[in-house]
Amino acid sequence: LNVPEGPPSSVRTITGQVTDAETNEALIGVNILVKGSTSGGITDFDGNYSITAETGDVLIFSYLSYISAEYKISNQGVLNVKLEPDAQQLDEVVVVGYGTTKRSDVTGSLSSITSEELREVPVTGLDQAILGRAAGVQVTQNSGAPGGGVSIRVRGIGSTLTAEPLYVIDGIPVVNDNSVSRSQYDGVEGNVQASNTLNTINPNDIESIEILKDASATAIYGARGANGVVLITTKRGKAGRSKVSLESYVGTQKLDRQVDVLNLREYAAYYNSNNFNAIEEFQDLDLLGEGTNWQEEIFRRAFNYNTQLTLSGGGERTQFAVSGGFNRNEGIVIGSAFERFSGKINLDHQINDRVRLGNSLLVARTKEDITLQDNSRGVVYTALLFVPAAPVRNADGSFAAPQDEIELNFINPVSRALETSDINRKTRLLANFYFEADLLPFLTYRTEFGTDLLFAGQQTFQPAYERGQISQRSSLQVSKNENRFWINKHLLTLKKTFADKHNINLLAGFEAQEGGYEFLFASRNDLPNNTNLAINLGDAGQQNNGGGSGDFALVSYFGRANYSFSDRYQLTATVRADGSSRFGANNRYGVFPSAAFAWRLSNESFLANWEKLDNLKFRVGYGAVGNQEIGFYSFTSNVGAVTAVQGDQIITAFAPSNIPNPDVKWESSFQTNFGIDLGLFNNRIEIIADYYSRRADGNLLPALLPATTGGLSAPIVNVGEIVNNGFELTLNTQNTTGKFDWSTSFNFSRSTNEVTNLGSNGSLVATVEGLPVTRTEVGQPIGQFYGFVVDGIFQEPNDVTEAPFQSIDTRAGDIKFKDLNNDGIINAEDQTFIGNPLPDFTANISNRISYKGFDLSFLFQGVFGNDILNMVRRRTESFEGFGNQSTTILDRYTPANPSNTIPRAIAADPNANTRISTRFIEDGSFIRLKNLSLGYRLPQNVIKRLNMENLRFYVSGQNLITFTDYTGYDPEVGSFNQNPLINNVDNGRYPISRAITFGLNANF
Amino acid sequence: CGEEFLDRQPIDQISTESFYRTEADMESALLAAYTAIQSQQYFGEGWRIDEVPSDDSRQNFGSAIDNFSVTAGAGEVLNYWTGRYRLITLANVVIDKAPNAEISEEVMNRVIGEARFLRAIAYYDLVRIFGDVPLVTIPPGLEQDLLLPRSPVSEVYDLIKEDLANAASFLPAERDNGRATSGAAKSYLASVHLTLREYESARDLALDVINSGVYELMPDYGDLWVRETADNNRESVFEVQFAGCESWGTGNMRQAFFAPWNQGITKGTDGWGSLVPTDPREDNPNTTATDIWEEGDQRRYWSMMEPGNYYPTLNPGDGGYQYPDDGAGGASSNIKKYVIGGGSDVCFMSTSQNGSMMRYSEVILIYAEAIVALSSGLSLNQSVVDLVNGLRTRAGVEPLEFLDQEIIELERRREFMFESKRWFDILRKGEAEAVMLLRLHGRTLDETKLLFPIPASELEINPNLTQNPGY
Repeated sequence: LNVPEGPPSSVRTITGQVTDAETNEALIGVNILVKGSTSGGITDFDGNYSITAETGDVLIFSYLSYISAEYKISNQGVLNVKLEPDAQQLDEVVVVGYGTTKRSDVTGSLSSITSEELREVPVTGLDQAILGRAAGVQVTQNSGAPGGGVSIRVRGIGSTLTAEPLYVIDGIPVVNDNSVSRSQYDGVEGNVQASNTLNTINPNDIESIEILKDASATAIYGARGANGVVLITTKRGKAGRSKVSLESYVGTQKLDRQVDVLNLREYAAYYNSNNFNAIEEFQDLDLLGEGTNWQEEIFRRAFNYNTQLTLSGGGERTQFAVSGGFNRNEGIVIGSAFERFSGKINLDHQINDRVRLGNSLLVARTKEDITLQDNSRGVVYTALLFVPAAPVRNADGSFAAPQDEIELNFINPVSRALETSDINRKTRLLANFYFEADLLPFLTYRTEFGTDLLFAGQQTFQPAYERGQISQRSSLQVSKNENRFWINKHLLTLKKTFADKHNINLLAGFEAQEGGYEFLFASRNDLPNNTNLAINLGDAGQQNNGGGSGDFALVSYFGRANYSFSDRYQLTATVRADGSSRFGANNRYGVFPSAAFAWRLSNESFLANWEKLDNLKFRVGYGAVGNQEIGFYSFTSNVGAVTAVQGDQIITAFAPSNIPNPDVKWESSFQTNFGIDLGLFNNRIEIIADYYSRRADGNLLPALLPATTGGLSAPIVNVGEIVNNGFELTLNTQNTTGKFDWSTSFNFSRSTNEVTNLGSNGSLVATVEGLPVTRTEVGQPIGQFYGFVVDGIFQEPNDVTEAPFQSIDTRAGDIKFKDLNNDGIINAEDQTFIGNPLPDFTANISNRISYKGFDLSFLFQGVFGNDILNMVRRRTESFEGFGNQSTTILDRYTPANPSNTIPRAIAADPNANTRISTRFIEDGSFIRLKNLSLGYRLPQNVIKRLNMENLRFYVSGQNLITFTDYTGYDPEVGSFNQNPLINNVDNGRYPISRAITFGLNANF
Repeated sequence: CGEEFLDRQPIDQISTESFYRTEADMESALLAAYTAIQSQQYFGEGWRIDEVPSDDSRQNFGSAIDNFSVTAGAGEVLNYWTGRYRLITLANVVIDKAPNAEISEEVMNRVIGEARFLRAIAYYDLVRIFGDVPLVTIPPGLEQDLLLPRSPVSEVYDLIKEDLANAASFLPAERDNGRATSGAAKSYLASVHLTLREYESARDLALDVINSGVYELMPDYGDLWVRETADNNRESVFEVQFAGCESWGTGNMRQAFFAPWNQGITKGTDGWGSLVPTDPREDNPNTTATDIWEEGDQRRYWSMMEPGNYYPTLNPGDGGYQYPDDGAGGASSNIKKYVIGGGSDVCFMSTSQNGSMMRYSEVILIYAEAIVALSSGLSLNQSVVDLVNGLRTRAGVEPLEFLDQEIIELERRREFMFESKRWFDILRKGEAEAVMLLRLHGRTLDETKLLFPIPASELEINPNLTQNPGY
């Protein structure tokens, strides 16, 4: 039988290149499969492939995050393929605790921020990169100073001790305790500016940020996850041609708006009306000009500059990413600046098919020039109060001092900003080494060893001078703070699929960590000059030194099981047991379990015909997480050093420092989460909605004890309970595709907070500069403003006598306060809750539009329904002493001007018109155009000629427009030194600036 | 990793279990108690409560305390309370730990005696300012009742007397380091008895101190207030030790509060003229700090800066300091005591001058007052009159022929002006007389205002406390 051979053999070699349809970049490692067979291949470093196939065969090109494409072979020998990036986010890989997973497999609640989003805006710190990007995550800067403190709240405030999340940077847990490098200007505890420890991280090095919000996502971090977890992954190298990328920008910043205070003419009129000692120059107001505008003197147009060079690439077995960057950011207040040198070396190496190892290494050196802020002696505050009659400098160029005539108790704010130097230097090394081996095809062992070393040094110098009525001796204080930390992890991961339907992913881990700190400080006075600033030069007779140290350890065992059935039902269960040295032997261990279940409805057969529906998933989760941030040794009682005097000698003596609670234990937070993910119309509309209830139980609170206990630190007891309920909505839409590509991302968060138990503590009172400003009480949200209620201004003497008694010196023109308990007298009992610093809701909307080479993006940030306590106004409308006042006092009460807003001018404030009252509570709602950025990417043909891969120029603006009724500088006030009990108290805070930046991103 | 890895003990603090063992530990714990008296709440600003309401002084620009309209929420009230309970707590720690320390009985008795002396002087302030107060006698711990009710005045005085008697029997008569002595304990006990009108005991104890030979008057009243001789001199019975600019809390803050405003005396920003002498006013028929003096009394010059006064040791670089004719900082006169000017030992809010609590001159006046009271209000006893005349002659005024209650009161006022004695002397007159005196002085009050309110925050935290009437 002569069977024909069939058509002439069409088996031949097909070659071609696979590129990204949008960027034309070669794609490396694209899988090519001949449909219906097992033969195939992958693309090389240049995206080229070569495969043997027959005419009529169908080639499938598949690549992670791209839409797979199928091509039928006809006669051609060359087949170039362009793959479209997958608009579907579903198969995006996200980082979760101790591993990664497909987004579609996530059962808990997390928000991701990609490097794309991070790159849109030139930011100095990663906190600004997070701002407005994630639902349920509120970022507030504690200070607008460059490098200044920041606080981040994930899903409300669940603790009265700390509400800051845990950061995990390339696997290393970091707590952003701003107090590590706090300004030591005034030495007044709690009233000085803090610096942000995370500013040692260069945001350009970050590949992605994931924020784990609900218990099922954070429970794997057990003892440290109660306030949410922020996972930060830095950029790693990819196999392929080496890439060089340059990112650089220059920018300028200025104050958004001044606060109106009296000019010289107005001030003189006010002064004259106050019966102060007559000043000759003030007699003829027409001869007076504007005087010194102190705000113009202390604020400036500031410049910032950033450049970063990254080299990445590697071969099949070894990949690398190396970068170096420099950032300098001047502050808008004279004398303040921030500088950072940073470097990164990330390596990955594959010893063989089964064994891999690598590292990430981040180093940074930062320098901050700090100006004293955030208290009533700060530069911003005193600039508002310093009289316009005083010049900045004398004729000889020296700083002017208070005049004899106007007896001021202030220091010239310009001299304060420029002469006093407070320099904070930090060196940080974050390193993590890993070793990973596939024991079996489905079983991987991984170990990591990481360390975080932070060396912070501070040098504060106050020069000597004799100036008018004021003389100051020079003083130099230096301090060194050394923080060390190491962590060792062992992880076993099992991934297996049974019967095509049952996917199992198991993780078991063990982890040990240890950390500690040591600090030293020394000070001397009377240095020989104001230029040689070294401690050895000061007067040894008056030296002072001190120091301290402490350490902690944590041991943890954990496990996680993921099971998914046929991509429809997903179950995650986590348990973690932590042993912490911060608790006594009685209660050392805490166990934190969680479970979550997700049902991917859209994969059910009965919905298979709903073509418009790409994804519909219900998620429900419950779990417990812990908090241990209570200081190191509150379980035991200690004696601490105190400075005593005997005769004329200084002697160190020892006094008990605390009342211990040996039974102190973990603070636990129980969280329930319900979520829906919905994707429609080829995922062009994506909705993620979550409702949560978070109950923090056994809250660690210092027991509130009477002063009869002698001022010993109160024992920490587990009594409090705080409930946060909230709703979060994220809506992402791809409005248009193609040439004109427009996408919108909107998020909305609402969270309510209620303190439901404080144990025997009636209330927690938090003070700023000794003044009680907030109160935390059962049945109320945490940290509410507390004070008197203003009921207008007494217009006639009769009004005073008819009203409840306030003070024997109350007169017409004084503020009338409400007699809340109707006992005929205004006293402490007439105080009530007068404002809530927590917002009703926040909403952010960002848009990204690209057309040809242009891209435009902008982000509006909205915070609504929060109150601010304007402590600055307490002084600028106080009529106290000789300081300058706000222009609002031009409308103060006089018999001729029956004002109902500003009381009469009276020295010493006998009616206590400046007591904390509704008078100083303002609506802090605002809408802000946080970022606006316009970029242009050079066309490919030009780029090719320049031998480049990509070149983009952009101009970007931050904080361009703010809509608010707040009368202070800036409604974004935030928490006071991260204290969860003190939010939105404006005490002369360093305002956030408006910035314009020009930059370029170039890839070679 | 085992339990050892997790068992972390403090590094820069010493655990209570391993401390309070040796004599050195106990000495150290005692010294720590003394720091409470040095504090801002105790000596630094105590005058806001126990000096301001008196008829010798007023707070410049007025204050609620001066007007007898203070409320329970006032910070000054809480500070006064807190400072004294701090001392009581630190003393209680010593009293509690000493019996278990590895020290001889003799050392133990001395250490406990000293702690009890400190505890007694704190309660002595509290009972006179607040009346009934919680009687805390053991160190605080979570296992005890920390919310004590107030104990009656009589019980508080019982403890004070017991403590001082114990201290008097176990403390040495003389020490060269400024710490408490048996003489100090006896003098305070004499003062307590005087307050309680137990004149025999007051007399005997005061005489005991006088006869001890440990103390003598400094030749010149000014010696008590100039740097060279002010601290721990022969006249000093007990004083708060200060060391100037070393570190916060080790310096005397009073110069900052007392020095006239804006006169450049302190060489810093710290002359606030907060407390100033009272002066005669038309509506005030009563005596004031400026009209109780005889011609030439040196004590006036050292107590007050008044127009015409010249102080060569202040601003020596400018040839001394002349108080302005039209007053300073809104007052026509200011306080001189504790104002010593700038210098290497003066920093922001601190000088090294010790704070006088009890001087030999007071012991003499206690003795004389007891004698007068026991002699139906008039004493011609020459030895007693001579003792008082010793104070007068060194001040540059004529000796007296006899003593009566009024004379003693005036001498006390002159000798201890602005030293937190006068308010307590007014209280000793009895409620009706004290109220009348203060009303004559132009103030509006009733007898309930003679006691200060219990701090509002204490009432809030401790439900077992009650408030004084009138607040």
